[in-house]
Amino acid sequence: MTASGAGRRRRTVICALPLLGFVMAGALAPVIAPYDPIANDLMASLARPSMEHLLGTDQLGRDQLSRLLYGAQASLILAAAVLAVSVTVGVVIGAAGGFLGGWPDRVALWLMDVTLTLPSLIVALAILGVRGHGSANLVLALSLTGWPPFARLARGRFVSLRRSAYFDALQVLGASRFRILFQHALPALAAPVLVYASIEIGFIVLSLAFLSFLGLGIPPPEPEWGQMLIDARPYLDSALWLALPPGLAIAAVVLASNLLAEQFATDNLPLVRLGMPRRRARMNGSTAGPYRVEELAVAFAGRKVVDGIDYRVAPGRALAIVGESGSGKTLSTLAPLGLIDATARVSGRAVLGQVDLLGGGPAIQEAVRGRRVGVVLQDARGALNPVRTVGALLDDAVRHAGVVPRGRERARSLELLKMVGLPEPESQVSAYPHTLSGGMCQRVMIALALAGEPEILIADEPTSALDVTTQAQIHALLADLRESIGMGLILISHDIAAAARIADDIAVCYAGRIVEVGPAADVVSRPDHPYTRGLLDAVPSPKAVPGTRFRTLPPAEPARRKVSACAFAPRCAHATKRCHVEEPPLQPVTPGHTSACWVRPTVARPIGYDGA
Amino acid sequence: MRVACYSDEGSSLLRACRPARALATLAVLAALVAGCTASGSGDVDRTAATGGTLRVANANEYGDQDPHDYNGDWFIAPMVFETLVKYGQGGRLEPGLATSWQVAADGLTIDFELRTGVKFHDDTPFDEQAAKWNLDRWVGKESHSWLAASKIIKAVEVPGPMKLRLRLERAYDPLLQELTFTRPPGFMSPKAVDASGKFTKAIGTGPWRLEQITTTAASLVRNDGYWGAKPKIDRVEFSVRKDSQTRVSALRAGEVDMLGGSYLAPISPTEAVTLGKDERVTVLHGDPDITVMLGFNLNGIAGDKAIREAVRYALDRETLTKVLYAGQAKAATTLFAPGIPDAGAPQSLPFDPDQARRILDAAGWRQEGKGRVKDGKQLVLSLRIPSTAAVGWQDSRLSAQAVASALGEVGITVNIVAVDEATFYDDLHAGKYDLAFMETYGAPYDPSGFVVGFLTGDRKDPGLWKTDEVERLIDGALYARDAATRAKNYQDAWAVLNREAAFVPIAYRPRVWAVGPAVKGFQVPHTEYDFDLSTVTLQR
Amino acid sequence: MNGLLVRWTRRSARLAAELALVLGITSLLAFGLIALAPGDAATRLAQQRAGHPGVTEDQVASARRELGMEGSIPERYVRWLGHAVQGDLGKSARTGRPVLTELAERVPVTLSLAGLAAVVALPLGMLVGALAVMLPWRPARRGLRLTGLLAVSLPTFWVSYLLVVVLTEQLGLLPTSADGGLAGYVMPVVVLALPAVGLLSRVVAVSLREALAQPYVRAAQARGTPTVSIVVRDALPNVAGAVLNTIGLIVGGMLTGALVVETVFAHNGIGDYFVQAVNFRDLMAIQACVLCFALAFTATNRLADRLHGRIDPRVSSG
Ligand code: SF4
Repeated sequence: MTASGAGRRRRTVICALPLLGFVMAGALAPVIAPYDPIANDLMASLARPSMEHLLGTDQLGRDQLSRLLYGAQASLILAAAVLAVSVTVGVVIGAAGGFLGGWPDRVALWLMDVTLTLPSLIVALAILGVRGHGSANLVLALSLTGWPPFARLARGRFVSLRRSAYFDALQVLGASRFRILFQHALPALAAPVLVYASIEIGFIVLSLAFLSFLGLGIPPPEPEWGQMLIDARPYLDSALWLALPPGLAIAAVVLASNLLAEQFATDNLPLVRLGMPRRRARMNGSTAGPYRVEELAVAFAGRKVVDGIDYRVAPGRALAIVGESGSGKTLSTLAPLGLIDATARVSGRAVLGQVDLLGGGPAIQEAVRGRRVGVVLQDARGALNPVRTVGALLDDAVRHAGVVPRGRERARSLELLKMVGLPEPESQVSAYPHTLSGGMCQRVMIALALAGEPEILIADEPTSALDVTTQAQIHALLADLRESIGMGLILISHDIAAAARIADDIAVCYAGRIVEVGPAADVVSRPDHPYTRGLLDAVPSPKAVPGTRFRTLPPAEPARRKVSACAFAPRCAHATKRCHVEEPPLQPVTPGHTSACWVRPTVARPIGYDGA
Repeated sequence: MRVACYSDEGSSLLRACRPARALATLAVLAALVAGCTASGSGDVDRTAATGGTLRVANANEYGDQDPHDYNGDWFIAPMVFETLVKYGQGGRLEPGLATSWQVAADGLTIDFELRTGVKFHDDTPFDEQAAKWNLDRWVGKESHSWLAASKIIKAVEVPGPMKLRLRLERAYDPLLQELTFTRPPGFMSPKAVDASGKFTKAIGTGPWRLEQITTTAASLVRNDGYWGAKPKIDRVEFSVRKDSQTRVSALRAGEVDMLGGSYLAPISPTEAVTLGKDERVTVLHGDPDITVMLGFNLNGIAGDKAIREAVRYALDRETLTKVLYAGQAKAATTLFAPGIPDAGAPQSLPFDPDQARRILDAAGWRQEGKGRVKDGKQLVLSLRIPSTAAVGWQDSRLSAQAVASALGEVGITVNIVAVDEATFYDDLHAGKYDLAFMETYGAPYDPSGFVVGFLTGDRKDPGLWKTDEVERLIDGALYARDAATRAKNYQDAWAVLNREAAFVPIAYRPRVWAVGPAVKGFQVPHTEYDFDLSTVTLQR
Repeated sequence: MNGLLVRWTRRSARLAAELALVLGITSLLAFGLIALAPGDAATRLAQQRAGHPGVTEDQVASARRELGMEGSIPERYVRWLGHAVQGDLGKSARTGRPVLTELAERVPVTLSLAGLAAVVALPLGMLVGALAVMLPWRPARRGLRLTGLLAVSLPTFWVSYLLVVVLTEQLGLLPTSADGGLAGYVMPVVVLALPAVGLLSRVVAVSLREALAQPYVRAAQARGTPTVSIVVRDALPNVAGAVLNTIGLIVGGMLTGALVVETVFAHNGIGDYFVQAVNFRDLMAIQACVLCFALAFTATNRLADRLHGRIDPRVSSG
């Protein structure tokens, strides 16, 4: 559910451009610099920028552009040397610790911790003060505090390698430990090390400038950007051309480095948008009527992942939306509530009572969430804040729902816990989530969702990661609740058989569309769409995680959806020519049961699907 | 017989008993008048209101102000402590706490007549006992051995009330000049120490009394009981600002009223130009009295005379001076600037890189690529510089790069080695260099102060040029019994230095001061250590 | 009650032991490094007296005696340690004054600069970081993000130069130094606070995004929990943890920043004192500075750990 990889890659490239420019300038300085950067021309002292000297000259008549280019070279060489030392030292220490474990690992960790707490520039200052100047000492001074991140990377890799079954297997096969080390672990380190190194470049350039300020930088006459800034200082109000270019060069390289760092730090994070704090719109009354979702579409970075989905749930009814992971079933239920990545574009209608959740902006969605629509998300344990007790969470939910007078929250919380069948609710209110079993967590989640006495309850894979007995119990609980409270239930599941036991209706979702929908009994007993048949034929083992490939279906290809074609065509045993050029619309099979397929195997042939 | 006597009366008139000396002094004066560029910030406004506080920036931190010790900056000390003899324009000796003095014919005793009616800031009278107590605090002590006076004075005697006699080991002409230095010859109240003789408070006889001092700030108030010309302003406040540009900004923004000098709060040549363009600020150039030069280490590769000569010819000192000092210094040809006593006549030092190449070729240094080689040995000179930021006029980094580039033209490779300050001075001391920038001290120390330290003494420390020949001549000058002998010895020494291409003079640089709009009547002081504010008034 | 007291005492004892260890090790390292470095205070003192580098062995030896620099390095260190534990940090070779007196003048200067900068940077950095995630307008979010990153990408001294030229010399708005009273603190504090604001804002922004991506935040959202409640109860502990983890970096940054602003803005604090001491090989002063730095560093790190434990019960178990 993150933005497209292409967008991120593009941004990464843009971020990296100044770094690339820096490397190029440094590498090509001897070729492209118009002048010798250290040759004086005292007659041309402090010349303004001109065609002859594009960036002017300094006090000794040296060409600033050439000095800027060679300055990049100096920083680049130094950065390369510092990185070479830091990476080597870091990888050796980290790998040794991670690979050997035990006391070497503890020593390595301790060294990393200690080094990381030292102020690196003060250390550099001390080293240069004591060991004297010169490039070798600069490298030493900067590497001394530069290695821990690399050690950390290496250690992480080697620890996981040592603990992996793969490693044991290789050892059993007779591979020597060191061969494994070199052939398997080190190559895998190259990419993250490279990434971190590009981040370090910025720090090194900035450190070098600071050391120049203290007179400890690269010795003259070699140009260095920080030193150029210092030399230009007396001319700040008379010859700005001396001071600006090196300053901008440093800023560009360091900024690029930092941007890159952040890009990687936040790479796989969805952008979650919280509403601005505001008074909530009150939306009481007018509960009657079904919840209707029409022509719902969700797109990320221009790519449609949900494309024209319709479904409806009446009060007291249950709809199951089934499909493989990535079919869009979760998106199509959470999007109307504004619970998906903020970069998504959502269109269509989602009408609850008289209100269109997609027509009124975030305020409406917020007002509905937790009060008129309750949601139970996947992974109950993760959905409970680990640092808060069950009671605190429930009390909050009850308070925000505003269904009981202030001060009575705890009583209501206990009531809810009883309602979801949690044993000994009085003692469980003070428990932290990590002390509860998976089934108990799920019950708590359901209790939380019920706090607002919602008209609709959306349960997203409520039983995944639970054992079979607990699965059945949770399903039974949901079915009970639907009846006793009279709310609509939307169940999202990959398990069509289980869904059929609870739901009145089933909608089958594939590649962002609903391909078959109808009364649960009909869909299960007389499936029309080849995909539905595939789902039914698959016998997911109880332990299979959601998204496990179905035995009878060929594996899903990376969805590169053609604009007009049946999305299922690449995997469909019945596909005809037409399927590849035209998209099938939903057509009635029996009253209330529709399916989107050109071939209509039900109609054309007797039931009996011959799989691949 | 009185050999030399200067008296209190008519201090503007010179009553000389030593014609040669007087002539020399006159010559110096003439040179000064001719070469004087500017002094005095516009017209002295005699109707200006007195009083007010003058704020002065200072580059270095203060230590305790014990005049007989050397801790931190000492520019405040001469305002508080006075000496028996004072250094006037062009090295003329003027009466201070002594009204007159006589040097015996054999030069072995000096008798001082002490000034009467002088009181220290704590009202302790200044008398012969106080004077002797002060001299006894430093004369003959090891930590003052750098000063010839401390070794040469054999005894301090009190022949009578308000009389003081110094007995010397041997006759030493610059002795009286040395007694004009504030540290250690300044006089402090005997009550300024605790029972164990440890310094407690800076109490002198000078025109200013020290009100408060920390490492980084000091304030002084006028001593209304001062015996001489009393200052017109009430207070002077010093604040330490180590960064030269920050001092300049502070002056331009009106946070301080004054900065300048070679060491007090030096202004760089570029900054002087910038300040000159600011109409709020007046820039004053004193006499160029300090020589910037390039010194060689004889014990290394620069022991080869051909190399030294080539370096002399390879440097275009006119252009260098123009670029490095923004046209405000003069290209130098001699060891001492023309205003310094016994400086000698200008030399001819043409810029001729071809001549430099010919000399090197003739000496067997063959050009190979960009550099030169002789018997498989590369011609590389290591130029030691301090890595810390430029101090005032000497931007070593910049100068080093200019020198390296110019010498590179004739095939001499210069390896610039920037080291931190502590290492730099250690390296100079230990002779770990081939080339180094050096400066003379300027008034009041020169010539004797510089030549003692740089032309004589321990050979391990290369100084400027230490050979038996030159040391003999310098000793001959220092211990000369008459001015003619002294002058001859000095001139002969200069001739040897010139013959040997012993060093490369680069520029005579002035002491530059800058004052804010409120300051009237300030004149560039004669020496760095004589911060005379008696003529200054403030108009805010 | 009693148990609490015992626990408190035990904690304090452990902290004291750790501090003693850190101070011991750093002072030993610093002493060794400086003693082995080229250049020595005795030569410098002799040269300072003479006014020229050419000093005799006698003069250097006498200075060495006065500075108490006789004996082997371990001997000298033990002697120093003996005095130091009695609270006597010796006399500065450069100024001849007791180091403690000098520190008493210097430390408050740096502390007030860094303290003011922290007071400015903490709320501002957190605000900018939070806004960079929460603002509804994308260009504004991007702008804040870039500003935050740019703030940590500029050389501190260059920013200082530009500020002085524009604000003092050309506009005459602000004084350059502490002599200007409170106004003299504006520029150095801004320069010190700038990278801290940048760093903090990014740390807050990234950790906030991380926190908001937690399933329990989405679950809270799904329950209709108000934004304020989500931020305070669900996101803040995570963000606060990340901020506390960067305290060490920020203190280190303030120290190096202090070296710059104390020079450029003529605030004579401990950063500047340290640089001068190193340039003089003023061992007593260097040792005192190193002790101060180590103390400040360890103390803030421990404090941050303690606070982190308070906020997140999972951390305090260690
Ligand atoms: S339309 Fe064609 S490809 Fe699509 S499901 Fe039906 S038969 Fe298969």
